[in-house]
Amino acid sequence: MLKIEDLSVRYFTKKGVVHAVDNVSLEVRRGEALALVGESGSGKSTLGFAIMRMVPPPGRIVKGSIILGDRDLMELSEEEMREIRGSQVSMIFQDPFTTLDPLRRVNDIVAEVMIEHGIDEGEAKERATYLLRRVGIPERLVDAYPHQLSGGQKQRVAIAAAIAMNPSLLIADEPTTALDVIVQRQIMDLLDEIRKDMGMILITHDIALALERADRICVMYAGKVMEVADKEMMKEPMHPYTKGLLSSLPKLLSSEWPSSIPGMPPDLREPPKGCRFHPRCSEAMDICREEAPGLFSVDGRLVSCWLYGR
Amino acid sequence: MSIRGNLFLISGIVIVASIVIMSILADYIAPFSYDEVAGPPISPPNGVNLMGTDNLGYDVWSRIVYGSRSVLFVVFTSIILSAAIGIPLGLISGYIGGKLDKALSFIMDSIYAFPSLVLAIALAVVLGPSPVNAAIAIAIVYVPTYFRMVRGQVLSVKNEPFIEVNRALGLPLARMLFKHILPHVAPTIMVVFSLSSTDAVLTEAALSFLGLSVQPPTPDWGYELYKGKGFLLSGAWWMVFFPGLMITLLAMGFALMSEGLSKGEREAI
Repeated sequence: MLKIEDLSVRYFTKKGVVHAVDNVSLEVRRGEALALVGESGSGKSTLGFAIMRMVPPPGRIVKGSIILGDRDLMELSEEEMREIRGSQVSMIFQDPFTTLDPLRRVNDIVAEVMIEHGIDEGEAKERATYLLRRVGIPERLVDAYPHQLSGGQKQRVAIAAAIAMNPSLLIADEPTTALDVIVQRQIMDLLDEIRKDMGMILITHDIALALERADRICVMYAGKVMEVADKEMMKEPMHPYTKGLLSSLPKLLSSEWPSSIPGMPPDLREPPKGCRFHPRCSEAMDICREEAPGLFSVDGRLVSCWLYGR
Repeated sequence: MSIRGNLFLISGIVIVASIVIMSILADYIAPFSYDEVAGPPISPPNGVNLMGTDNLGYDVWSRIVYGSRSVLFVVFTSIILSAAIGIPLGLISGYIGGKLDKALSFIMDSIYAFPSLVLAIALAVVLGPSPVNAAIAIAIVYVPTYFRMVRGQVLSVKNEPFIEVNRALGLPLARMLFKHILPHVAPTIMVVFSLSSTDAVLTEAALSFLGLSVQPPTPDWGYELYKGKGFLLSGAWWMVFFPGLMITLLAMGFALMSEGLSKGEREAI
């Protein structure tokens, strides 16, 4: 359904060119939840914005294609892309406290999306009320202003607005990070329940959340895809970076300290030669310093590591 | 923002509203027509001519009442015109940014760099003396005030996350500007609106003083002031005093309104 091929995004800052997303290829199948996991600066959010063609300046998509359905989003005009946003691809953001216009009633916020995508006003308002009820906003709050809602309720409104046009792809950029754990669970449950056959890209730094909620997981590091595998397979990772990520999770029933990956993520203005992870990798070989590995297909998963390819 | 207890705002509104009512009901309020000999020329205030008569024997009070019409016409036309140009330009310039913003800002700053009165006079001279041209001249002078204020506010509002969300939901530019950014800028616009009206009153008076607005015998406060100036030394203070008082009063009314509005806005925050 969504197919990203060879996508590169760079930020042309005054201090140099940041290679934020580098030659990423990725696929999201119909109805599937794909988690993009990585630490800050791994390019996962940039990738999300790139799919919306909303990379903030000075960033630019320098190459690649983003094929949604049978159309390459890279070839659309800005106006055609605007029509796609909200109707075929939608996005939910991290902080619901600032992502709703404080001067508009929640019903209008949801209805507005539909009105702008060609549904007439009366029908849009009715459908907005229905959607708000479906995401769990009590009837009496339909005409409330955002400041009258709790954080979780705000995120529910944002979800209602994002799915109002029944898009085929929903990008959720850290949708629960600003919320407390109980509400996090409720919001994730709601997303699972409401999206049905919508594909979802769940952008998160929380690999535990990804393991729990996603069908497939894509691990990113320094703008590159490291490993893509089904949820079950990801519990037994192959890539040294993914192994490091998983062993850094604290374990409730173990006296062991979680281990950490030594070193810091690289400066993406001058990414390391060869594999971008090699300076921190315990299993680095000579070839890792020289040549970047491709994505090797191993036992039904994709791994970008010389340990598994030649 | 509540009006109750906001003395500045209330008194400003009362002053401006009374003058507006005066202009609407001029036919009933003025005892004489504005070009009707109502007594001996240059007679001081008396029972018949409350504010005396001018050098032609016209009733000063009646000319002030009718004069409010041309004053208010020029003032309101000019501020509405400059708001209608300055606000959309400020919204677009601030939101889109880039080269367009640089070019527009440069033009606006160039206009702003002129002393406003000098520029208004120059424009009025070029356009030719008439109330409409005076309004256009004043409007051009105050466009940059709206532009700068609105642009500045847009720059801060456009970085709010909800704007990015609206973009992600595919809202078009016009809706974004007028439904999501303008409401956040509106309180500031109100303040600029009443503030620039104060200036517009004084500029209008100056233009009409110089004969660049309405033409005689139509009355206008600035022109009355000019007419009375010649007789001031012979002791006819009323021909200058009353029109001057009205100009001051109207300007003060708008100033009080703007003070009240900005006070209300500060308290609302």
